Amino acid sequence: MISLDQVSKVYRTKTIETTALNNINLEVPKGEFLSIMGPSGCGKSTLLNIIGLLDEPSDGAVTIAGKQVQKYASKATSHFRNEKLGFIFQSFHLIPDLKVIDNVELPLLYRKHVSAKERRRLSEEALESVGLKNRMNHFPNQLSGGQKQRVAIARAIVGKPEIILADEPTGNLDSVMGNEVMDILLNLNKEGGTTIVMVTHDENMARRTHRLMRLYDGSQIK
Amino acid sequence: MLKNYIILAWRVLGRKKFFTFISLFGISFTLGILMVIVSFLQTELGTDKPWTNRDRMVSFGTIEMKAMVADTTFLIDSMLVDGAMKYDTTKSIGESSNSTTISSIGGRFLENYFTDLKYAENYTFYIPGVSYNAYVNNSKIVLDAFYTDAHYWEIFDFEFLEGQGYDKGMYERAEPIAVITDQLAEKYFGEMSNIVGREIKMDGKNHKIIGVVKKPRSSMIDGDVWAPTTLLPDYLGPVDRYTGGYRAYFLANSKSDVTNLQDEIENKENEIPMDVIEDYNKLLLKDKTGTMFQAFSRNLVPFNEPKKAGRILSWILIGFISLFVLLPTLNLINLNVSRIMERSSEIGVRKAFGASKGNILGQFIFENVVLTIIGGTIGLGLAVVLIYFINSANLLEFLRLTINYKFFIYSFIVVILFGVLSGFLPAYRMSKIHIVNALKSNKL
Ligand SMILES: Nc1ncnc2c1ncn2[C@@H]1O[C@H](COP(=O)(O)OP(=O)(O)OP(=O)(O)O)[C@@H](O)[C@H]1O
Ligand SMILES: [Mg+2]
Repeated sequence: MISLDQVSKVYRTKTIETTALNNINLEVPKGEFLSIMGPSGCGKSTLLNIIGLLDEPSDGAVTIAGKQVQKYASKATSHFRNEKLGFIFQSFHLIPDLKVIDNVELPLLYRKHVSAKERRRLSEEALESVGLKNRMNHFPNQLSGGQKQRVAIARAIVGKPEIILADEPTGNLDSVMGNEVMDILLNLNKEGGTTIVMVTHDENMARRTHRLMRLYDGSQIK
Repeated sequence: MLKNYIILAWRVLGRKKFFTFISLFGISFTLGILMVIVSFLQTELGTDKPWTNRDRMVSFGTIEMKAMVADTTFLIDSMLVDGAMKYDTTKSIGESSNSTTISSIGGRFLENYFTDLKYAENYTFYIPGVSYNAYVNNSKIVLDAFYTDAHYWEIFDFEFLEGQGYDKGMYERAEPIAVITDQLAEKYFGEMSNIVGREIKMDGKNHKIIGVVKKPRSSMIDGDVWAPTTLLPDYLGPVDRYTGGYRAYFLANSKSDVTNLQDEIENKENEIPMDVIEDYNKLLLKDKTGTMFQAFSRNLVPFNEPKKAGRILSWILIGFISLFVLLPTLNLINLNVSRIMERSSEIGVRKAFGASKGNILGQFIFENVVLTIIGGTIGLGLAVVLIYFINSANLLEFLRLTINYKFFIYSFIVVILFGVLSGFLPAYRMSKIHIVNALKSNKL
């Protein structure tokens, strides 16, 4: 499902050169729940962004769902992301001016041939699956952190993507709320067969996933 | 999608109340003032009656004459050649003028030299603005009388409420007749209907009223009453004078002939003989004719030559309007930049979930257009109120400003352009922002 072949990422500024990722090879089969751990600044987010086609590797090839990515900043890539990928961020990134239901609906706006009625139905369904249908007319600032992240999950799954990428989804939550979110993700993986890659700092969370990948200073630890 | 954007735009504007207020104030104020200006120009320069032919008209109101005298100068250069003084003399003959007159035009001068112009299809010569006192029920009213030929009613397309203008026959027979405005009819007779056939007393003489026109809404032909020039004693003036109280309007054969006509009139300065005139020997017509815009400009800028006045007024207007439009646009761009920057996280999320550059651009421009349309609507309201105020307070005397539908539509196009313009730059910058950076900036 996800295949990285000798992927490197180097950030160059005038004075310094940072190697954020160094020659990473990674295969994630369909239906796997992979977690990534490592100290701060080791390149976890960079790796996730590259998998999510949000960032371009300096070197190497990225193949997602059988398709090798050629051009990152293109309409085709945008569509591909819209269809295949769902994102969950540590700081939620909900749009404060939109109601919960409208936030969830967002990915469907950029998809062709989905009627307003259909969008509404799918969004309600996604909210139902994270247990927040009763909050759909609230605004994000009326929700707790855990609820916000559940809304973000609903947004990530509303378009029924094959892959979900989560960057420290529980990082801003206490353990109770963190576990709630984790349960949802596990269920999504088990019931829906969604492939999930999750960055985390929490060993307990990582232990509940299929496989753990450790990064240190941009390199993979075997 | 569209509904979504509208809802979002509405919420964003509602959330940023101060920003919205500043923007709306800028837009509506600018547009309101702009519309009053345009409405003013429209009234003064539009082709509403009686100015139906305005864009083919050339006005000719003054001539300039000079007395030129020969001016001889000797230049003597001295130098030393082979030890002896030598003198080199140069004699030059130039001209200088010792008196100048600028005046309105004599009737005979016009009749003699300006009735068969190649580029003019029609013409009228008339004497504007003769004031008379008239008494109604022991109270005095001042009349502004125009003495005209019969062509006047062909060149100017007055709106007749009753009767008509005088024809060539009546003019030549010097019939004591007059055309008056509805406004004067009301003042003089206390009513506005059945006026034709009654008499009005001017200069001690009774004139039979043959027509009633609607008071023209324009400063240039602002009269109360019109009568044939032939009623005045010696109306063409003495033979040996080119100056007098006349003004002329010519109607060019076509719009494209207007400049040719101006040139044709001004080139007469070399053809018209000056030996009949006593005190002057040179005629200057350069910069003495003008289109209606140029003639109008003379009222507003302190230059006598219509062409120059027209040029200067155009620049002033262009500068003023550009500045007026530019300032709020810049202000809006500036406000938009910070407003959109704050929403970089939103842009990141939208892009991550598949929004293209065009989607982002469209969304922000759309939001801005919504804002400007609201501002524009307020501006239109403001203009209506202002114009109502100007009209009812009679700030511009005879002028009656109106807002017409065409202009309403133009303004709305301007408003939308405004929105696109001021939204485009910041939106374009933000649409190009890298997703990863857009998502990061929120955390800082
Ligand atoms: N835009 C950038 N320009 C230069 N260097 C960058 C940039 N983005 C990231 N880096 C560097 O790349 C390295 C990896 O960053 P990354 O964000 O992937 O770390 P991380 O493992 O996600 O850390 P954390 O756990 O704190 O989120 C860091 O050393 C960081 O300083
Ligand atoms: Mg990170």
